[in-house]
Amino acid sequence: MGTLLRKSLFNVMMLLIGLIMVVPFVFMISASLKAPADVFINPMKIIPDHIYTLNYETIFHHKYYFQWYWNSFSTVVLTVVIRGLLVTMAAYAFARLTFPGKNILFLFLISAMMIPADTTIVAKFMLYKYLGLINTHWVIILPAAFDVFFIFLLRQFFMGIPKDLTESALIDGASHFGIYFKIILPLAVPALITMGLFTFIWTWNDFISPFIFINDIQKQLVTVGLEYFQLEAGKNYALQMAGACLIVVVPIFIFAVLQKYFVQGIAMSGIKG
Amino acid sequence: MNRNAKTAKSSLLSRVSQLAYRETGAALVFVLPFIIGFLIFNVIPMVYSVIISLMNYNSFKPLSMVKFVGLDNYVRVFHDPIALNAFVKSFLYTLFYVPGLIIFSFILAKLLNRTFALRGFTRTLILMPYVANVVAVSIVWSILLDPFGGPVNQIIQSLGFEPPLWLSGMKTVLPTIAGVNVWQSLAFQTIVFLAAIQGVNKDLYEAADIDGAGRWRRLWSITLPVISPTTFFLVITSIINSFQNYASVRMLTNGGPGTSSRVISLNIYEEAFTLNHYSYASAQAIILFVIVLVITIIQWKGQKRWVHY
Amino acid sequence: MGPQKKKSAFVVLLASMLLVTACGNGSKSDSASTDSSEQGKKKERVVTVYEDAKRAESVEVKKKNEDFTKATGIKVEMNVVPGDGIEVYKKIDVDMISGEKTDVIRLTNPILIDKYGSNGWLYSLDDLMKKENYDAKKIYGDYLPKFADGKTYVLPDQAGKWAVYYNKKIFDDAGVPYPSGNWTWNDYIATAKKLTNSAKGIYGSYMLDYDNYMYMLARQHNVSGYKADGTSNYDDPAFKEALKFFGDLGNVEKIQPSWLEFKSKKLSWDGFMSGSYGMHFIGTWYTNQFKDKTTYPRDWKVGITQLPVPADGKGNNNFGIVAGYGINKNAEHAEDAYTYVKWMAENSYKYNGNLPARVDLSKEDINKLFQKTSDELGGEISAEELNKALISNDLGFVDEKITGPGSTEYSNIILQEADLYLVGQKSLDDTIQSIKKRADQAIKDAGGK
Repeated sequence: MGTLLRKSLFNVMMLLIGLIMVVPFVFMISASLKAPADVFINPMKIIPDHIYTLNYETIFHHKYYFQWYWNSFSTVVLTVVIRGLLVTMAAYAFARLTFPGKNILFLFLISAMMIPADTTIVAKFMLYKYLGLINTHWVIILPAAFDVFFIFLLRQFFMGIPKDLTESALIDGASHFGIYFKIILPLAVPALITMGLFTFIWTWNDFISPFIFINDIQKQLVTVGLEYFQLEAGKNYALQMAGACLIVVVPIFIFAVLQKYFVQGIAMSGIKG
Repeated sequence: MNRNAKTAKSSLLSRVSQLAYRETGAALVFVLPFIIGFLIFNVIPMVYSVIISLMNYNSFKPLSMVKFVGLDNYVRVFHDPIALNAFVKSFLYTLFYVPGLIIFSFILAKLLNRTFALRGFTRTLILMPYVANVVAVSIVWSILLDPFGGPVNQIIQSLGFEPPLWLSGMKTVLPTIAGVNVWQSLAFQTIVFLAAIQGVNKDLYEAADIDGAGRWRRLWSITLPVISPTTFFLVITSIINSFQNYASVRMLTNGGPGTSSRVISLNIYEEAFTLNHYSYASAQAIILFVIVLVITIIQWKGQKRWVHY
Repeated sequence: MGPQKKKSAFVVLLASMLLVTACGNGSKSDSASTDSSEQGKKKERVVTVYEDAKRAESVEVKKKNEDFTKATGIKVEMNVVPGDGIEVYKKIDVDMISGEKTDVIRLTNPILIDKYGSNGWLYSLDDLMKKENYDAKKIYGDYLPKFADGKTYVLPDQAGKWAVYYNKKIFDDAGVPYPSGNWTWNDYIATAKKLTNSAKGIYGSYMLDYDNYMYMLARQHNVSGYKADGTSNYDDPAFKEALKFFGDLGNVEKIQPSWLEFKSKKLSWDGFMSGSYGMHFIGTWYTNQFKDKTTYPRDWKVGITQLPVPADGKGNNNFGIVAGYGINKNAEHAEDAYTYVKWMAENSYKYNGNLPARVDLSKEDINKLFQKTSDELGGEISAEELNKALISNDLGFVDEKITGPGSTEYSNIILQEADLYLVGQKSLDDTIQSIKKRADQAIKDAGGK
């Protein structure tokens, strides 16, 4: 009985934590169903007096909206795939192989994260223009693919995988490609999902890059696309909220599907087998 | 056997595939594609930053009119009370933000790793603030923390305390922003911790059970040491990021009241984009870079004491 | 679907994406090449124009461009920049630096006009105007933006003014007669007090957080932001009085949300449209919000009256801002762009209902403009009321903003420092002193005195 009570108390607590997390989302949905001038009214009404669907209608009726959505989706998926390949390979080398200058090189890579990205925007614009990337989706994909952050994360994960596993494979004559592909990657599935998920979210939500580097309205990504809906002297927050609700659907869905891989022991069962 | 046969042929193709068996060669193949892209997409803009910080590009003028001025922009930072103040604010913000973030996300990951009803659902909810629109987040917190009869202050008042001004108070604004940001960005750190906790070998726990170790002992001598590489990663990157998240500060207070929450990243952003002080902004960015680099190197040297690979 | 099928489906999806991304680029270059071949045949005249998203979508701008093409044979291509009125210029700034060739830029306030004109980004119009004896001074009078080098870079298309808009329902409910114009700030405060009803959540007045609210009284008295020697004039008592006056409206008189409330509740620029405020003191561009009943559905009628003046009788001025068009120095089609800028400066007002920046218009022209606005408002405000509030009164005209060297930074400094005073964390004297000190530094850095 005592454990049952404790268990249900724990369940209630976890649900409460979940509820605290969901508050802004409730607000987003509520605001997306209001007229622009009513969003900031005090006291705030969670359920609006009149359901105002014009925000969604305006978005769906825009001739480029679905184009933007597809642009975002394809750009993000390509980023995830290309980054996934480049980053896991480099992380494997930094975690598992010895080569001259490894530590210095790694610290050098990390230092790239320390310069605020926006201060170099003018340089990037001219560089990308020189490379012919401006106004294409590669201007988002390629710079994002060469990302240091996740090399760091994966390196830490790969280093945590017991050495005897890979060493015995080496003695058996496996190549480093084989080890990387058949042993390391399957063991790091939660970390890989983490990388995929957050790459997805970050690229999906990126604003500055598409805003500055993409000019054509039909090539734009969905976050910046929403900025084509404006009021006279400011953003249309009600409409932005509707757009944000529509944007959020994809990452939430992906995570809801993938979270089941975060189960205790999945990594280790691989090792034992 | 098979390998030897291939070597005998000694065609170019097989020599390339041979690389995968030699460590330095394999490293080259694994790292080189990345390094090339890194040089193009990261190093060139960095070098540009350094060069432009030595110029007088401090107004909105054509690049051809820009002149070399040496370290003038750097000297100017040390005479600029707003910029110096912004560095201090950023430092304070990091002191509030990073410990809060690491501790809360670890606890949350531990909790989410247990079995309970609706676990998948609750895990998904954790992601909500993270993907929520930054404008929505700032509005929600402005309403909750409204000094004019907002729900939080009503509770505090009914308990008989003096309610704080939260985002509108000069002294409370930084910890409040840090708190809101911890809550909002918790998901990433939690999920990374969760992934790391799952990498802990169950055998270790079983062995500890046989030794009769209690829950705290298991946490202290198994979980924490085993996930320490992950913790190290999270601490380093959280510190780096804490010096850069101007987006949320901009939405929550835009540096106010006055300059009480004007952190250095916001200051750099404003200098560059609102005032077109490109060189001066770059100089501040380079100084920030050096500070963060020093902090990171100190941690790197210090990791031997607590990080177990 | 088995795992194998799933995998191959994924590969197909990926391949199709690569294809689409690649094709996307291909089709672009195709269209570019056909463009140039057409140009070779017919020499089609084109002018490219930056427009913000709001304007690009609007019917007036489309109509205006069509009419321009009809009148001149020059085609207009819009380079639409997403984002709000501030973000747009962040993008254009970067474009300019990297040599983008879009011809025409619309500059929406004097600070921007000064920034682009004084820093060598705009094409001087003087030679082209001389060629055809175009007397800009005669058409635009004092609205024509002036620059330190004596050249003309911008032709103005709009000279906004300020007025008080009021919510007739709130006046009726409170049994207060509508304001009839010709009033002082004391009258304004007294009226607002009668309208304020905290039980119903109604404030008599609403103002925003723009820089010029901090010093509007000083501007009405036509006190300059710069001294004769070029330093900041913020230590003039007029600025101190103006800041105190603005703060008191919320903090002491309590006729509008206090600064603290405005900021902590993140009240917005279109808050008046929610119907919770009796009067709104704002620029005349705001009229457009009342025309748009889909975005702002409302069950109340709006009125307009002239802005109140200081009670001392020395500041009988309205104020406002000039917006105009300039030509990119790197413009591909500078001459056609000049034709465009000239045409827009002369004719824009006929389309969007904004006040023209022309001094050569007849009474009939003005009346026609007001009648059009009145019609678009469904007669809520009559042409005569508009005329009385904005033109036919005894008010003078001054600039609403402080413009001069370092004015962007000056404006930021005023907002940052005033913020501390308005929430009660810094004394009035200290605030004024630090504005003066910091502004002096900013002016010096910007190359002023």
